Amino acid sequence: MPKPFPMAEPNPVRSSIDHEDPEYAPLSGGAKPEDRRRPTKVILAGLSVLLVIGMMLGFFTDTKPDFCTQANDALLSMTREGAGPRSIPAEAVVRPGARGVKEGVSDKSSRIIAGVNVPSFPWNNSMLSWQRTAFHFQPEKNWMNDPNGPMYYKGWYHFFYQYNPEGAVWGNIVWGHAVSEDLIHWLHLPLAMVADQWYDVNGVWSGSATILPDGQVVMLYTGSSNESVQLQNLAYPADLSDPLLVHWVKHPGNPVLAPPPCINKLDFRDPTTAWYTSGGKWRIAIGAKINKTGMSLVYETEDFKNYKLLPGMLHAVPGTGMWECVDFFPVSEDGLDTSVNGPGVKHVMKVSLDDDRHDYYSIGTYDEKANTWVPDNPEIDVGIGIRYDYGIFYASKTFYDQNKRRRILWGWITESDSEAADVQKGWASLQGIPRTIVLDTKTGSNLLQWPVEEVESLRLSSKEFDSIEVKTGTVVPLDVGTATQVDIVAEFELDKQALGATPEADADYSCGASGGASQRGALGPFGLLVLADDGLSEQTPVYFYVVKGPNGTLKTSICTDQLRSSEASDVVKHVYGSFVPVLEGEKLSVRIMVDHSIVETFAQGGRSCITARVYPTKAIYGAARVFLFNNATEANVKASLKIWQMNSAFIRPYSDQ
Amino acid sequence: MKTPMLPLLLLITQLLLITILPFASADLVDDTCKKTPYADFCVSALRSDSRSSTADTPKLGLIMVDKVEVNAKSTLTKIKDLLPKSPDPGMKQALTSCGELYNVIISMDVPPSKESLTKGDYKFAEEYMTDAATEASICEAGFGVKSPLSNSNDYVNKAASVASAIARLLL
Repeated sequence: MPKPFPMAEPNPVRSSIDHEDPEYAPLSGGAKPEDRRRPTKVILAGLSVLLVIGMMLGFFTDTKPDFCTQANDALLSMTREGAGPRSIPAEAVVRPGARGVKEGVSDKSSRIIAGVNVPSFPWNNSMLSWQRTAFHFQPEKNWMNDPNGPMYYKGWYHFFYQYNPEGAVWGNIVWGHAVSEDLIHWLHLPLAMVADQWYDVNGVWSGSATILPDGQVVMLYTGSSNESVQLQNLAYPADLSDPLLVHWVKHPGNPVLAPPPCINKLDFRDPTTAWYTSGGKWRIAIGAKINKTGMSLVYETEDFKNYKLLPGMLHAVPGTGMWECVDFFPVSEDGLDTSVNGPGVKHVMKVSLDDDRHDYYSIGTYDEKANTWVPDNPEIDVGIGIRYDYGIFYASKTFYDQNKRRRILWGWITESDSEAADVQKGWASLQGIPRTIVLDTKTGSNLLQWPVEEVESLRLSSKEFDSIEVKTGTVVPLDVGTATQVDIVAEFELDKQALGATPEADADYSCGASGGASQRGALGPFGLLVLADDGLSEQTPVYFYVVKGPNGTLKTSICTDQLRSSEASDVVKHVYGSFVPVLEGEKLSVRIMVDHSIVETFAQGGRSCITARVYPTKAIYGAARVFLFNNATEANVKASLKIWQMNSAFIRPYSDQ
Repeated sequence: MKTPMLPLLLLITQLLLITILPFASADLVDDTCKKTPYADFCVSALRSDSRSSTADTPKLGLIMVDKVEVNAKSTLTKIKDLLPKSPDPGMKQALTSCGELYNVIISMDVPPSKESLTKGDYKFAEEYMTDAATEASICEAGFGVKSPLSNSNDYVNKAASVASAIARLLL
């Protein structure tokens, strides 16, 4: 009969005083003076001794090296080595740091910090209802956030998500559920789990699924308890023969995990999918922090009900703050099952940083025995290096799709319009189009993300444009009709002569620090204008910007520019983007998917990705167009592209018909 | 009688520590407010609430959110009171917008912020209190030159900005 560890208690915080017997009986009357003095001394001495013993017990209960003692030691040594608050890593080799002070605050807060009184735009229902997407996952209404427990089971892809059944803001969180046969055409099912137990009554928060070799499905998730403690819980399908997995059962022995003593009870959440070790046990990782050091704890289990906290921590990075939605998985040029390991297998460590609302990943080596993961390049360690996406993309989570043997990434795309507009339109948030993830074997230092091939089943009519010359300072309309639901694949080539003649640039380029597409350089910006009206009063440029460095080396950035995306001023207007590696002999290639208020960009086969939310007031419905543009001063550009109209995915509630 | 020195010393040390603790919390108010955009405002607002002397940082954030809520509600009452008394159409329009904005603050910003600070997913309090501060600014901007709600808008804007900054410290 397995013993749950730690003991499940209805009230985890309980005073120990209830159970102590009074040590000393009160003095009875009639005691002689000398007798009275001696008891006082005894009481004093006794209490003090108890105090000392208590203190000693507190410090020395566990002589074995345990996680908490080791954690404190490890943190001390980290600080001593001067690994303090994270700094922007050096550029050169791989990728300049994306994190800067200006990006350190949430997109919205930067608006009021600027001290500007932003007038609200008179959004009408027509403008707002246009914003709903045609082929991105979103519930029929209300608020959504993190993707949860994605998996493939008996012919269906399952998707769960953080959902507020009561409104278009975060709160009252439960698990929504939807299924699809192809990751694109989703059918809504009833809520999978609601907040009906003491251990998750304050929130059924994020978690992950593990499919066991014998076909069992295990769901681990964080519950916010009746006392707001973050506890980990186990749930499983009520009926494994139901491919839709509509009903779920919570393990009667929940919770299965509580925060360890050195971890704050509010900094312990988002258990990962489990991986199977060579020792025949399962392991999961859970994100936490101590002070400002984010970390991942690792637990070992055989039955998913009893766990052992392993000493050491898979990884930790000082200065990064709380690690949310930790993800840990092996990568190669093919998708790999989460349990794959071996010499030469690289592992990805990924975290969602609470601190700046961005998802970071790093590639490194997993040492199962030592329970450590070490980044290949510490300068682009987790939290200070590469991001999955340089726009809005958070709380992302991968799963291994055993059906098509690929690793798939889900990411939560929040709104960047005003909250009042969200309330008016009655919904908030999308999920990005699921992406396959593989190791980029050409660079070896980043992942490639690409929309799942099934999205191509939505492609309707297309138009091809071959070798269009786009001269400096020009805009070329592309006659594809309405462009609110389009899939664009484009290639660009800078004029070779101009490229050679252009002198070395005197400065680097950074999308976020730039003036966007209207800031001209010798070799950029050039690309496409999406969600643009004929008069270009509203436009969202997605562009490349090339900078010539020393010895003729070229450095390329990919950016999405929201600065003139809407006449409304109560929407976020940034220039998102990053450096993107372009190897010898490669043309500049980009794929852009436009689906109403979301624009997803994938550069160089998915080396750099940018997701932006766009809220035009004019460039909507039949008025939305697409253009080519070249705002460089020195080099003409040749563009070849194909543009497809995209069908709706008709995401709707499941019905038996 | 021989006084047991060591146990006595230990006991006295313990008692001293117990008396020092409340003062440590009071410093938390100063420490926390220093890291917000309106430090003086933050200190006086927090200290006006007796809970602040023993509050940890999340609770200080909650106290601030309470301030936002209380003042937003009283501002809404003021708006409802002013509306029938305002003949000027521009003023009426601005007041009506403000009414909507303050409804959003009360029903859409305050609840998730409280939930966030209580349950430990602090980024939402940062987000929604920022929204509340913006909404108060938008309300003020709607009046042009003469706003009958300047003090209220200013207070809510400050309180929400401070609450957001406190949540930020917890990330």
